[in-house]
Amino acid sequence: MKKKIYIEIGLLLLGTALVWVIFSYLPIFKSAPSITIPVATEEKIGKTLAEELMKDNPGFHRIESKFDDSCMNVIRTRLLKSIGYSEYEYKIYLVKNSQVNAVSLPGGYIFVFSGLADFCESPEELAGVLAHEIGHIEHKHLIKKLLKEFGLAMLTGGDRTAAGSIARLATGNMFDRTQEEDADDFALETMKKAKINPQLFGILFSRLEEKYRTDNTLNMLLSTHPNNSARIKKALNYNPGTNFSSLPFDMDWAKFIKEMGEGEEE
Amino acid sequence: MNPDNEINSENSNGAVISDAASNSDYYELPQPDEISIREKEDAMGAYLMMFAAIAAGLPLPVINLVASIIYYFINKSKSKFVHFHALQALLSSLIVSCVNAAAVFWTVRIFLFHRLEYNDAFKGFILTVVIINVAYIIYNLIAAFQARKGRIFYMFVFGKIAYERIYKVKSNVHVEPIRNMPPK
Amino acid sequence: MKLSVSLQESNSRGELLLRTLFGWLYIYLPHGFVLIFMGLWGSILHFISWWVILFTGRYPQSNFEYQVKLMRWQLRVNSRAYNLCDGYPAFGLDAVDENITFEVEYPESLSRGLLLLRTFFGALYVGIPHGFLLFFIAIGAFFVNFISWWAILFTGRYPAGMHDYIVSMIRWSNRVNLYMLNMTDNYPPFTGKEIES
Repeated sequence: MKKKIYIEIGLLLLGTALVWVIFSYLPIFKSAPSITIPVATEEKIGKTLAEELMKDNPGFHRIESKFDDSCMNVIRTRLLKSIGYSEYEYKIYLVKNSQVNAVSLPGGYIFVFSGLADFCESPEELAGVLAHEIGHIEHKHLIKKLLKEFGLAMLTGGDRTAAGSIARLATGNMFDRTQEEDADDFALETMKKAKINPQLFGILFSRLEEKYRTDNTLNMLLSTHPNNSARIKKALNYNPGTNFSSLPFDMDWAKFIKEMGEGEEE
Repeated sequence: MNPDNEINSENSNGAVISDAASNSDYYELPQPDEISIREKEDAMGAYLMMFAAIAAGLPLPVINLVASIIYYFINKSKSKFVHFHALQALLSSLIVSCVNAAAVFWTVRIFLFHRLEYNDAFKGFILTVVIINVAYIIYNLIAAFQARKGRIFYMFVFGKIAYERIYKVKSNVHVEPIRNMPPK
Repeated sequence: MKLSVSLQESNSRGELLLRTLFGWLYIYLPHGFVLIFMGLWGSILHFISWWVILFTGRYPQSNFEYQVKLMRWQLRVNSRAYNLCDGYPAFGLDAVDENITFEVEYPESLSRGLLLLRTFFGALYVGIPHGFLLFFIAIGAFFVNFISWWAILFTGRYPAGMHDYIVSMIRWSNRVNLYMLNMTDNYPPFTGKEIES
């Protein structure tokens, strides 16, 4: 009798496992193309693309400034703390580029252009843009797009030429309206949790729009983000709640800009 | 019954059968006409404890398991027929509760830490859990109806375990009674 | 159903005062705490019994006995709440109280039609008429209870008429409960008097 019981237990476990596998991996039950790749692979792709960008592109030379790096680290730490658990280790690079823009790559790589940092009147405004880029990464917008456009083989193939092309494309207008709104919502929520006034996000963009109304050449940030009026309005009307109190960053922003300028001249 | 076998003993459900081939003894199973209607109802009630959560008005699946456990301990001393069904219901409830708990745990983890991004393995697991629960409800209802008719319905796996546990004659190992002694 | 609470020859003034001042602590709290869980189990059994009656036309006897024992326990506690009798109410479903009698005849079969009628329309044809009358009786019981408290304090006895009034109210509400809990198909009479069956 005991032997029969063990056989039946084995059959039950086997049957359950079989049903699970069938439901998980049979094409008819698989969800519509939801591309998931391990975080390690994503980081590897991001690293390759980042290296390609920093190697050959004049617009992606890192600004060497310990002070600026530590300031960026302070902003990064506060934002990540408010997010809580994240699969990624974020690497944020300040690069010499007069354009007002920031670029994110899969695996947690973010490039902040010096043009953008210079345009921001406070670290809080920059934090808003960073939170937006983190939102793109956390929600895997870019990696999904890249996988669809190029396929996993090309992204992990190790072809440096291809990586260079992909990286340049990745810095362009890659996200659709839903993804931009998604990243905006993420940014506003993150700013609120990090005790940064979320309305500053809208203030920055409205200032951008005001300044670059006639000339968008230096403002990639605006040109790559359509429907700005609606998103500015949303950010300015965002209500963080009655218990919200902002905690400004304790850093010398003027010094940050000055160090950045000196770093650019080197 | 083998009257020469001093190990076997009578029980409330009847005679002991001796299986010479397997060298193991089991109590004889009661037949439907030998079981009182009260016992049949008590046996049926064991399977209906799966609705305890609905009855209590609390949407917690653990209530079903707790109710099954309580029902088992209240009814196990009534008769072997009721004991068998109560144990079978308890075992099936226990396994299903564990599976449901795993599903809840995984879902909460995705909700809290992975921002609702789930993979195919999770989807497959949830579908499997749904099937297990539907099968459990149907199986239990069938068992409840059979118990009400006075029949011993054997569930897959749990039926044999319950039968082995309840109807197997336990050998009477002679145990020295405890004697109180003065302090040393 | 047979429900009676015997009228004591004399009631203790000391126990009366003790119950009034500290009864909540040493009687109602411990009993209430346990009865919550017993009541929860009772509601689970009641739910299951509903379905069993629907399919078999019988109230499971074990469940029935549990409900009766639970109601008997509640009656023990309530009789102290109304100062109907002295002594500490016993714990347990099988406890015996010499002052309390509560017997319910087990119905061998129950009507499925009435079951459904009670479930969907019970509030209408039972809840409203009986509830309406019991509401006013309960108001009366409040005053009776108040007056009887003073009567016990000064005379050492519970007035017989007031005792009957309270017991009748309890008997009436228990009859309604039995009907609504599907433990009997006999529509509760509009009286709290003991009826010879």
